[in-house]
Amino acid sequence: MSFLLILLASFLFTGIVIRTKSIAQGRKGPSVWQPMYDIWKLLHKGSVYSTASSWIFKVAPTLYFASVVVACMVVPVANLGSTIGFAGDFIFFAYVLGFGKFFTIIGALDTASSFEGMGSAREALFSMLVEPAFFILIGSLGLLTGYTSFADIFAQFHFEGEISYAIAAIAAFVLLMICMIENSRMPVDDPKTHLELTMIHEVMVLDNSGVDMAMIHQSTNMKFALYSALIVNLFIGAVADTWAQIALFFGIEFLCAVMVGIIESFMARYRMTHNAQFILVLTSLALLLYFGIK
Amino acid sequence: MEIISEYVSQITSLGWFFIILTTCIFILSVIYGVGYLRHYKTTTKELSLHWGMFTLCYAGMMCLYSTQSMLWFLVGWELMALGSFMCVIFEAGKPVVLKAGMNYFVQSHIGVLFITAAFVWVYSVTGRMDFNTIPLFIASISEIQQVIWMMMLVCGFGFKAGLIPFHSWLPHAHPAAPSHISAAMSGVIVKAGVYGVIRFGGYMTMGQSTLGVIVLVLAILSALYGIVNAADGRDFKRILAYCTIENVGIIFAGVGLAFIAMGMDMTALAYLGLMAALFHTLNHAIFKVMLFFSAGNIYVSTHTRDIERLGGMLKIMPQSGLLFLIAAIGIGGLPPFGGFISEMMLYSGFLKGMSMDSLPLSILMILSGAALAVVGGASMLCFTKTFGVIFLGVKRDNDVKPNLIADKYAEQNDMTYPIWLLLPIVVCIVAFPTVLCSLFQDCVKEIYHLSMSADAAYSISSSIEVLQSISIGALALIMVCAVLGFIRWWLMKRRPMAEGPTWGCGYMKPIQGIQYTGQSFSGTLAEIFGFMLPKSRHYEPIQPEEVFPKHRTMLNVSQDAIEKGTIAPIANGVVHFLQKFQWLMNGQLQRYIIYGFISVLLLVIAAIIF
Repeated sequence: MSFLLILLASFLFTGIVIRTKSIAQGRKGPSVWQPMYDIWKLLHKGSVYSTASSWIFKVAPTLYFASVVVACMVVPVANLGSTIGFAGDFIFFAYVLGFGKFFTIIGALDTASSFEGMGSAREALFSMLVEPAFFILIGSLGLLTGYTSFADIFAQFHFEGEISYAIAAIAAFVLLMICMIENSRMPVDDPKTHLELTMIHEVMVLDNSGVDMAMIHQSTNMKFALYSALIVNLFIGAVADTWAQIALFFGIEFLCAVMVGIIESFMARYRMTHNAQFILVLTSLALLLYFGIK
Repeated sequence: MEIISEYVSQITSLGWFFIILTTCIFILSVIYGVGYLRHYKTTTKELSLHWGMFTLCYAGMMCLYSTQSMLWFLVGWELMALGSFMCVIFEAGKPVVLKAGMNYFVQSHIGVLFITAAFVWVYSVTGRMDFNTIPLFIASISEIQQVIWMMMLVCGFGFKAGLIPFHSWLPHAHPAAPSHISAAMSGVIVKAGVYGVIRFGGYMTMGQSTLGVIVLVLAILSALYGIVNAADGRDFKRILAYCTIENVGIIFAGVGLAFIAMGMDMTALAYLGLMAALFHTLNHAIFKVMLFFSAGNIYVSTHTRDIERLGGMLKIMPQSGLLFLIAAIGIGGLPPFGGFISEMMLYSGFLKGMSMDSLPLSILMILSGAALAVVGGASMLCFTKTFGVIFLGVKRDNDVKPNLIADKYAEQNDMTYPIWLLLPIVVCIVAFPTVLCSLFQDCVKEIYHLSMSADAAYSISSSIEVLQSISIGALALIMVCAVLGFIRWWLMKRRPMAEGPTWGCGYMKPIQGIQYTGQSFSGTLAEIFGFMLPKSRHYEPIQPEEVFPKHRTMLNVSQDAIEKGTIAPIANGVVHFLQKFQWLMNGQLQRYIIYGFISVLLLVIAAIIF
């Protein structure tokens, strides 16, 4: 059930981000369904493979998409429960996404392109730096609630009193930033730049086409919805009614998308060398949260 | 005859675990090694010496895992060290190999010194050498002495296991040894140190948390240091050697966590830490052996260990490539393979430890967990780099000519099937982690006599139960991959497919040299962790008066910071000190006879006086 909700939210997420950006820039902009049209179009196209690449390049997008799908299964929405859930499942969540990243990276290296190699090196480095922030953040929430699975943490979170919403605000900020980094969006990476040298994620998929490219696009959409779903869970505990929860879920997802759009419109990309510092700031913020809880 | 009666053979469950593991890996190493050594020009004499020493090493390990006597433990330890040393220097004709071997030999004996000292301490108190006297000895010493005694053992075993700062022999010895020896060393011989610490740690009654903190900090630093050095490496066997240091760090993190928990009377957490350590020992042994074997196949074919010269090997050696990939995912701790399960246990141990009342310990726990997360990320970087640069893309150096006959040989014969044989074990570990973990629980129970409350027992069984859900998660991942793969295949069936050159972003004639290299891949990481990776640059700058600069080369060599900073100054100091006595050794026979005469005289005088 949660899985379907996240899937549904993912269809519109990027569309809303793009629409927000175009409104901020004073343009009319494409329809919010445009990203889905693109995916549909890509699904009907053929593929071109580089002569340098091997079977790794062909399987990589599928495995990447699979990892995001499984990660979606782990995340619950409110009390709807997740498909897979156990004590410590948030580590499974992070590592499953890591599995997908592993294949995107080697898929990019398989093309023998210097640009894609550069993108993959950055992706590997930045995701390495993000890991501790995520661990400390969710670990601290676990310490607060006394549980270590997503479902239990979020179910218990609301009952920890007023303080939990102050924590939720910081946690939401950190999660949103992690979301931006994981999806290679604005303060860290600029997917819309004209220069391949300065990209991270987009440059890694330069050679993908057709069905593979559709899967990569949909993975990005789902990853957005996924991290936003985590944010949703921080705030949704107070509402008991299932339908109201679902409504609130879409409401907050929409807000997250608008936030992403606004951040993208009004922030410039950091210099590549400053990204590492920026990401480490998130770790220290998460650590601050830990001290607050302890 | 008294010595032989000292040998008390009573094998603990822990001993059985290590015996079975060692035996499996040694058998596979023999199968692989026979094929591997065929590529060397060897004489029968060399081969029989090599295999004889390999057997000696095996015998030594069996002795030390089965005995309950400190004396025989040392004998076994020594046989193992000697045998493995002789195996490492198989190519003794090469100076670099001999030097690496001597380095290993000397360092492993400094380790023995620590262990012997600890044992002699026991002997001097109780007058006996069997393990049963250790509790008597422990009862007679104070808390701080217990910590010191155990620290001596941790140092001693740390030399074997490759814990920093005792690791510096490892990155030299592994590349120098033939691949099957590297595999056996990294897979099981190094683990003898883990066995030692877990075996003797059980005798402590006080001060475990102090010891635990020291071990945990050393372990986490080892893991970080190992993986950062591995990620920056360019010799693939050296990368794997540093990766061993990282994994030993992860194993010891479990042990350290367990010691802290014992000190805090948290039985369930102690069990969890030790089970995680043993689980990771198993996983690391299997995956590291797979990695070294498939890396050995690459070496046999290309005769280079420099990853920057390789590329596109997956097309030439598909089987070795696939197996290397599986092992790389496993050892990086990524699902769906076993490495994830043991790391997951360790994470949940740290999460449980965070709720300790003591603030410093709680902080230590969350930082260790965060460090483990960094290690996980760095090991992903390390293995995407290693796999990507060796196996993917196109070949970087035209001088490297894969030997096609050797390839075929390595791919079809006895150099791949030992690796395939490990795959069912990998699958079993993922499918039945709970069974394995219950076995590990028995191993721990036999050695550590911890008070077991009903709560603790419940907590342990529930943390074992969780493993089944992890393997279901892993299964889900595999299923989703399969389903999506099928959908993709079905969609692609009707779509046109074409082949073309890689999109060069506007550059029409990309050459192979334009590919990203391993060094550039890890360049930013190396900058961030620059303090761990001092680089020495060999380059002659262009002088202003040189109107037509001549051909130049530049070489960046990253060095081991700890080796350079601590080991080398000590070694140089010793050499410097000893050089002062060089005048004694002047090559005149008459002088040497005089020395002998004087020492006999001194002995006689001493005998008369005392």
